[in-house]
Amino acid sequence: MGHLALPHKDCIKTMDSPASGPQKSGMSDRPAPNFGLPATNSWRATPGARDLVAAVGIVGLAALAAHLLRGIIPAPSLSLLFLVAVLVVSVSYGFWTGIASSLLAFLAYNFFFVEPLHTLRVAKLEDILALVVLLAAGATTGFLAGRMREEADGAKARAGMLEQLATFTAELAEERSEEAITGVIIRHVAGVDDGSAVHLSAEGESLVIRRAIPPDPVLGWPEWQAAERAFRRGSEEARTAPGWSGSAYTFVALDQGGGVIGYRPGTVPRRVEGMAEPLRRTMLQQGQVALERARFARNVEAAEAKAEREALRAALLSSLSHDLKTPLATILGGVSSLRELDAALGPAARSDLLLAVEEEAGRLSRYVANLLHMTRLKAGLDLRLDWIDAGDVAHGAVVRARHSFAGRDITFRVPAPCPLIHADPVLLEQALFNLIDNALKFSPPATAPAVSVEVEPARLRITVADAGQGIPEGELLHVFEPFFRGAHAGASGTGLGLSIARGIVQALGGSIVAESPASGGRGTAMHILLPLAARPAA
Amino acid sequence: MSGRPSILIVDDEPQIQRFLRHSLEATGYEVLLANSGAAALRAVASTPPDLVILDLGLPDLDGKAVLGQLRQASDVPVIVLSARDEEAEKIAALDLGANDFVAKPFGIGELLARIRACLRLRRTGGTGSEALHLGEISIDLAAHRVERGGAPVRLTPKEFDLLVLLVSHAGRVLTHRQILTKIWGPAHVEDVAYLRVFIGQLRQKVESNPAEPRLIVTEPGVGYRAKAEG
Repeated sequence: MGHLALPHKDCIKTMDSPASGPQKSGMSDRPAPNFGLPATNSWRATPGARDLVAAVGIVGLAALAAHLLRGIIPAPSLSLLFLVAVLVVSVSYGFWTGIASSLLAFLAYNFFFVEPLHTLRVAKLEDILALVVLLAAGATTGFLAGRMREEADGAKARAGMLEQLATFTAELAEERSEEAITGVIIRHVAGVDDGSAVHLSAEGESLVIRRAIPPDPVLGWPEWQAAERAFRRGSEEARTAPGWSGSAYTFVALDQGGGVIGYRPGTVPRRVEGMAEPLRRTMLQQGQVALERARFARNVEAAEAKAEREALRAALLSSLSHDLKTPLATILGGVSSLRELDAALGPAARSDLLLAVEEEAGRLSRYVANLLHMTRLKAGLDLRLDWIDAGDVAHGAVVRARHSFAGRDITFRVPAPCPLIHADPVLLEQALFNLIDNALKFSPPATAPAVSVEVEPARLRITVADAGQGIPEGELLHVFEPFFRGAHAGASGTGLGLSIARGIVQALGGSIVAESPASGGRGTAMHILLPLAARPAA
Repeated sequence: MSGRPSILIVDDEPQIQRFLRHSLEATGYEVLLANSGAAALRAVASTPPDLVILDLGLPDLDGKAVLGQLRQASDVPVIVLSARDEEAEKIAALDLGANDFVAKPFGIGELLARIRACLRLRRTGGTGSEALHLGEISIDLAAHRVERGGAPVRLTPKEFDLLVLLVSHAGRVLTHRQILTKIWGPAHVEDVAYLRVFIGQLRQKVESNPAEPRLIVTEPGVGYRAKAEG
């Protein structure tokens, strides 16, 4: 019985905790919650000293009671008191303590109450029977009670495990990036039993620690070697049994060069002992699946972006060839006519040719400017935000448009005073100019597009309305896409202006909306909506 | 100085030089050419021109560096040529002492108007006279009185100072920083919002249609300019 006297706690440590040695600091900052079960014995567990003392106490009480009742009730019936004591001990302290208490009760009853008294000899057959019953009852009850308790504990532990697994899966499902997913895996694998976990991945030729629970783990040479092996082979390196030299961590390689995850169990409550490892396994498997999902999503995104870039490039090339060649043809043709046919051309024809050259050069210039804006938008705009008078900026765009399209009228309406907004004046003017440019191109020459600025609660609305034939409903959603041209766009649209306008307005924190037919039942209205922020006191 | 004002064109693009030389000579200016920053500085030192047209994108020296060195030796008016959407470049050049800018590509009319404004200011030496005019606005400097088409216009002292500053530099752009420093002092160079409010108020009083200002025009992202016509 010598080993039975060991303190209860020590038993657990020596039996299943390879981590018991150097892992003191990790206990303070435990990560994911574990299921917090008290560390109680399983029914077969060896009894502790306290259990035995309690058993002796209870049997002693029974003996005292029997002594006091001697003479009141017949001697054989006194054995029932001992039976009660044995039952109580078995239920409370498990199988072995129950057996021990029944032995004790057997001896005490024999010694104090069975003729001849104060000896361990038994004279009567019925006393032997009573003693045997006592022993059998203790053993049977202890066994049954222990089993029940074990099952209850096991069920509780399994429920805890399942709960932890459910939390883990839910957290995994919320994360999109591989980095975040790895973080969740690490946290939960370590959290199973307050152990440690690390994620290592390659940087150049060597592995480095990306993330660890608890932070700043101390990995020795054997651990690094094991991690390296797992990583190179894409396999698993199991930890060595406690007491042997070797890695204290198990390392599992992640797919697709995602690195390796290492873990080391913490102090496991005895009754979940067998479950912690399968739980970690399940978590790692689910983690791998989640990582694969994230990688897959990333690849799909990349493929989509690539396809979009390809489409954009194709559209850009066709736009370049068309929109650069047309004005250049006019300019070259016009100028060569003027040089070579000078004498034959009348003054009216000469002046008309010159006007054509000037107009086409202006168009070319605007087109190149738009291409530059497009590039700037793609590269990320360098905003020069300032407090600006939106009416003033809108007027600038109107003036520029009147200048570029001589002979076209544009009406302009603005409240006085116009509130200041926080925006980039040059970009906003460009966005608005593009809308006006678009309105002028797609409305009859005799009509005048209307530009207006209106103050609404918390925002400013700048509207460019035209009296053109409007945009078909199917095209309304696409007009702001780069290089999109409507079915009746004709030759003059480059498909760049509106998408640049949208890019700019979005960069300024606003939004842009196309409305067709506009209020009034015809034409198109484009609205730029910009937030009105509170201005700091000057 | 001969009768014809001389203009030094500093540009490395032969086609731009060609176009400018023909147009400016046809307009009646004497034209000098330099195709690098170093050549420009030598030319200014040997035969000082009446005006310099400086392209900010030069091969050897940064246009702003040329401007800085030029300003150490001379106060000749300088008009810089810059790309359309390089506001930061424009402002930097103006703050370094350039008198005005023209954004490429430009029509010859725009450049000629800038040249005239700069040369006129140089001749009159800024605010020497007792009265200033801008369109139908006339300003009596001594009496602090402003009239529009003969009718008196009531301005606050700051509005008056602002109007005088702009009109006395008519045709030339003034940066926000220059205006704020002159009118409100160096401590207020960042208060652009304040300036915009004042410009708005001033336009309400002096423009015939404040929504479409013709006298005080905005140079987006740079500053303001009083129109020189008339």
